[in-house]
Amino acid sequence: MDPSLSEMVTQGANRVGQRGEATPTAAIGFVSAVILTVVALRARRSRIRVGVAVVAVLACAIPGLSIIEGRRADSPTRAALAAAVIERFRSEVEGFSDAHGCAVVVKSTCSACDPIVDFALATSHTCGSPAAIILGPDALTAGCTDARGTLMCGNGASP
Amino acid sequence: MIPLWRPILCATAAVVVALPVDHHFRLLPRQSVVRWPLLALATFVGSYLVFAIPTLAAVVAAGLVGLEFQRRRSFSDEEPPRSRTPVAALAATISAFLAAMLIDRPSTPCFWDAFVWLAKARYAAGGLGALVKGGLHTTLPPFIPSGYPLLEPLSVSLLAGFSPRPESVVAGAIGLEILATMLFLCAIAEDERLSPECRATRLATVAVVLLASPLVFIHLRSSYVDLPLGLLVGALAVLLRRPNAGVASAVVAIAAVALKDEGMVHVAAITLVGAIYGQIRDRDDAVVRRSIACGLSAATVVAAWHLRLSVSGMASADHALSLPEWNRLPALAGAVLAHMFEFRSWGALGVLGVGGMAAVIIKPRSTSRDAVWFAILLFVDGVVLFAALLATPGRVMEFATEGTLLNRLAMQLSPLAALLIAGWMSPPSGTRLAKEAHGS
Repeated sequence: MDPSLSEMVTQGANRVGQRGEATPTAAIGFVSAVILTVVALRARRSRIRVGVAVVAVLACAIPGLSIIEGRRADSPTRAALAAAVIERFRSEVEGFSDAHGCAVVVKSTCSACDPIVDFALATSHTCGSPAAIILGPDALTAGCTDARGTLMCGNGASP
Repeated sequence: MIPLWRPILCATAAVVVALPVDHHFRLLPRQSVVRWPLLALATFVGSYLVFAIPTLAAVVAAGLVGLEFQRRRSFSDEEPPRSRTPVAALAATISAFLAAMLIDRPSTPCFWDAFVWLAKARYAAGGLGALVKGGLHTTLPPFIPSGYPLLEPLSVSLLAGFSPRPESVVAGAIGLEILATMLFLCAIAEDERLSPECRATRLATVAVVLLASPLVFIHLRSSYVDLPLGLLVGALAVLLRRPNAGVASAVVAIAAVALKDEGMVHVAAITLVGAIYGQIRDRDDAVVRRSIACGLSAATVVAAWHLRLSVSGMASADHALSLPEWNRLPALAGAVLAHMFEFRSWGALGVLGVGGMAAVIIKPRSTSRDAVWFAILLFVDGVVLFAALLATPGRVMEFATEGTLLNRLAMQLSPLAALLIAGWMSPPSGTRLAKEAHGS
């Protein structure tokens, strides 16, 4: 599932395709906008405009919707698994913080984990000596262990 | 399992809280479905004022007392004639949006900003005062970015019944989305300037255009605040030209600026266009007055919040504007074009929005008056947002060109673009079909 799960957490709501994928559609889109404008300017009946718009809407929605429904980590077949992984990580961090009064991330190499940790620690209180959390690059999927009062998440986590 | 009963119960309670005030002062349109989501929104805005800007809340309360004196002297009990709402179309459209929100939606947030926004709502479970206190201190807590307005987490927490459980705050976020969606759709469905058939067509067109945009579909299932903000902006654009919707427009404008700082950019653009368009094209003083009143109400709330921030020694570093940096212009313009015409994210919305806007502005007589109104609004709003981006700090510009920000700003404009497309499909003003559509 990783790295598409991390990609989903960090970029999933900002675009439909993956980061770094070639995007040749901008030029096609611009040419389409020009053609559409010309058609609209020449069309006298609103029915023609409706026809142009319906065809454009349906044709253009297919590539994006097929990615959402099939390829992404939040697609219907994979969403439950992605949510379970996120939920497990959140409950591990929150449980650790509750058990030690409060906790703070002292080292993180997992960018997708940062907002989840903020979400997990939102209900915890501040305390005099917060317990340490260390997040390795695969912290989200690899799970956490409580090592003498320090939560080590991911196989690559090191003090 | 997402406990949807929580937002339903809490929204009902919010309506009940605002109902006696509205019943007494007759502030919102009575025989209208849009009144109900507006009442809930008014309660949330009222809570925001009381907890975040108590001085302004006191001024508003004093204003209501003043209105009471005026009401005794001159208020008329006459209601405007009720216009038929296309109930079946409204119910079908709201159901389609609800289905899009709930299908395959996990009970935990999955995207970056959803965690950030809902973390604030979880923090607010300690009491609404706790959230405001956290937002006004530099040391507490790290997940509340300094200076950001707090209506969204306040509302989500209220709709979640102050529960910090993840599934409850997700339910609260869904509640806020439903509220904004209902406001937007009801504002269109009850536009008494149009015939019921025209309103039904407009509703269906807006729904198809928005739901066929893949990124809108994703945002409907997430807990980001950009789409709710855009829906409020769209509702404001419709309400502003409807008679008897002055207070309703002001409530929506205040909610928009209290949800996100970008709300003020949208409201400023709408105020500017409303004042000029109402004077020159509509020749309707009421539209001009409503626009200026909305702009002033929203600006007062923003100014009061920023005054309170500065008194507390806080600043919104992300949204502090400076002089425009013109050297950013080529990169930013290129990024905007690339984002708008990206089919996989936007489907046809970008193409239709830009094409429709260009067609309407070049040849305004070929389409309806509403299309011209929405096209000018979209154009001015887009230009003002673009100008604001040129004047933002470098860190925000980095977000913009790397692609995490521009699509979110476009999301805020998407309901306006859908309205433009729906208006563009209406018959041209002055034709027989247009007269039928306007019920005259």
